[in-house]
Amino acid sequence: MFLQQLMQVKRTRCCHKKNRYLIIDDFDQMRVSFKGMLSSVGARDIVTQGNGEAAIRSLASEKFDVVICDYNLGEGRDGQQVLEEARHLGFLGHASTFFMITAVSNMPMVLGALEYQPDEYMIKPVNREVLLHRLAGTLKRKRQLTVIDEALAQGDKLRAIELCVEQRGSDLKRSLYLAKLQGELCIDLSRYEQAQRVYETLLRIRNFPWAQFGLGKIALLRGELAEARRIFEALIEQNHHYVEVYDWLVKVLEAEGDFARAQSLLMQVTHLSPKSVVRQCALGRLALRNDDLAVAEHAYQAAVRWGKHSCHASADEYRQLATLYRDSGQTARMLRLLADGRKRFSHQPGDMIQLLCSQALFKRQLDGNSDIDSTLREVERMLEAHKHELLEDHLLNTASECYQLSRVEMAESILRIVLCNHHDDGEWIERVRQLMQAHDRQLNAEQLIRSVKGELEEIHCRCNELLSQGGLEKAVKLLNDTIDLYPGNRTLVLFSVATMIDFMREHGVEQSYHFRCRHSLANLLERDQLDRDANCYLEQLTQLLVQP
Amino acid sequence: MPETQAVNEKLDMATAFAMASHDIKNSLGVLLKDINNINERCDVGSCVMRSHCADMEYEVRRINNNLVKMLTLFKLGAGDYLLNVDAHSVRDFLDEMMLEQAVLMGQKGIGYEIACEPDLYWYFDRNLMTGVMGNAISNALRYTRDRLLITAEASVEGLKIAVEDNGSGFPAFMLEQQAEFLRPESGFLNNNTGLGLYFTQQVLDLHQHDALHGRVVLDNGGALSGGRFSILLP
Repeated sequence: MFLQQLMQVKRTRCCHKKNRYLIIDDFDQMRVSFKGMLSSVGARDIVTQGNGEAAIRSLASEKFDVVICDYNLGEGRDGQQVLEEARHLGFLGHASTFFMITAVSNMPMVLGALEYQPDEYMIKPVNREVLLHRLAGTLKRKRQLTVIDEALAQGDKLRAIELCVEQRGSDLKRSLYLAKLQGELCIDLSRYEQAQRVYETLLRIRNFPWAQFGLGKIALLRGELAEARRIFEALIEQNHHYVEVYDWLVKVLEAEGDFARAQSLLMQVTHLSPKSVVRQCALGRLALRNDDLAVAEHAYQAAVRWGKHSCHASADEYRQLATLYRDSGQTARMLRLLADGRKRFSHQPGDMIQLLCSQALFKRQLDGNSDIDSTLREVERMLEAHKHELLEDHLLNTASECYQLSRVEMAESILRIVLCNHHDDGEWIERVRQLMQAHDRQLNAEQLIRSVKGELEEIHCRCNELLSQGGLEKAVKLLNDTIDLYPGNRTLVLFSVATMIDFMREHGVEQSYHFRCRHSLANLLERDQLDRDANCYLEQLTQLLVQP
Repeated sequence: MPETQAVNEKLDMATAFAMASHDIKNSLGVLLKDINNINERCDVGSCVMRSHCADMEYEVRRINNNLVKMLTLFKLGAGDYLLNVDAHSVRDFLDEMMLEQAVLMGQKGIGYEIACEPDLYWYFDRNLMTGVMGNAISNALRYTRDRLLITAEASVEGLKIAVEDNGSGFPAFMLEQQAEFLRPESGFLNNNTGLGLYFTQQVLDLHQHDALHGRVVLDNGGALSGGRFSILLP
């Protein structure tokens, strides 16, 4: 018996040695204490941080196996925000472990989160033996999840779903975790029936609120508004701390057209949990829609305030708030806000461009003669450097503002990027056309659309020609060169992936092609998780690998 | 508006509780660490400080248990408790409960045994059950002579867990009155055992499942012929 225990200690010691630890606590005595506990079992790679911001920076720059985080971190982000951002941004996979340390049992801010939950939630005072025991159990349970992280890192959600089933094993706690993950992934891929089966099976075991929540989401996504509303209302009735459920109930109310109730519900939940930027912006949008300017101003102010420490911050709340300030004659506040925004987004080109444009536009509106050339040169420089990373909405907004500033050429070079990414997508072409029409450029619009279409269709034809002559490799090269110019063009990306898969079916797996396919598909899925074609090609690619 | 005022008062009370307990918990953590440090520096086995350390640690844990009880009952009363049910290995849970007391038991010369299948899993709120078991074990440690036995097994009604000791058992009046804890007017709630039972029953009620209700029973006898605290967790 004693020998067995000794062996156990040795085994965990060896596993602690390899792991990388991050300790986050604003109280230095606690950091020292946790560090001491971990080093006593041989952990060597331990980083400590005293606040949420520094912790996120650490998490972004290196990979950790275990994070031990106090909920209460003083100013800035709290422990739950650190967890949510780290998981949301992919800094922490499913195989990594997150322990939340709290002073009181039952923290509503931690337990009310049905989507992002810590692996363990420990209450102070934390005893060394108990921490190590709990850690050993969690590490053992989570080790097998590495394969799922790998699949997800490649954007291969289908494989991840299969793995969720394969990896269940005899540990009931792990099975439950995997079933939950499987449900979420199925919803992501619109496999509602499968997700529903998963949740219903779980609900027969216990009334897990997150499983009910899953069923509610499925109902809403299928357009069954009444059913979704029934489930969400029941969950809130069960406990008014489930803040994520409110967000989904708001979606139901919006779909039903009940904007007044949606707003009042969001006001209730932002009171309960004010720190979410996304939620404050949603409230701002609704309040604007309902012409409730006071509430909108308040919500966008909160979004800006909490966005200082959040990965969800965007230029949008600054622009909306600046507009509200302008319209109510608060010029000084407006200018100060936009200047703050430039500092906040100095490392986020998309948001920075938006802010610069707004700044130029507002300046011009205030004083027709004010000098905006330097600002616009900055916009031009940034657009050139980052045009492929920018979101379509950013591009369209920026183009619209360039028109308003009479920078027609600049507006149209931006719109050309949008068109090149969507040369065969009627919806985007129409949006570009409408924007140009709104600025009296309808003739130029048709010309621009024709020229882009012509250019890309010609490449398409040349590829088909090459393919019919058996020049598979040449076609792939031409396609990939074009994609390097217009990386956002979905049609070309899919065409190129299909061609490479065909090539590999015939000639066996070619590493560089395989890598390029994965990379391209992952990019598409990152933009739209539900992209059916991308998912379908991903499946084909995976099958290609398993075949001998 | 009197209504708003009442709401504000309630909120302030909850915040005050949370703030104060946060601070008390930090202090208890520091105290426990200090006690352990003193204990580790007594390298002579017979050092008289060691038994003082054990006594201090016991009291600190009692303060902590009571704090948990108080806060949980407060939240339950306010309808504010978020149940966090997950699957747990029962063996693992009980091991952890005893690990927490390991140093203390070593000092007092108390041995223990856990009788539970290694692959037994159950669904429960771990932190609430830690409160329940911490309470029961702390009580058993106080009255046992030198041994504890923890047993756990699954049944159709639920998970049965018992904490047995080899002390002289619960006094007769306590066994007779144990059902009274559910009636606050009986006065049984005024003693600590009564409050502990009340807390336990509240926790078991929260775990209601498939129309199965949990219960807590005290009796004497069992394998160690001392007191026995048993619960049935649906």
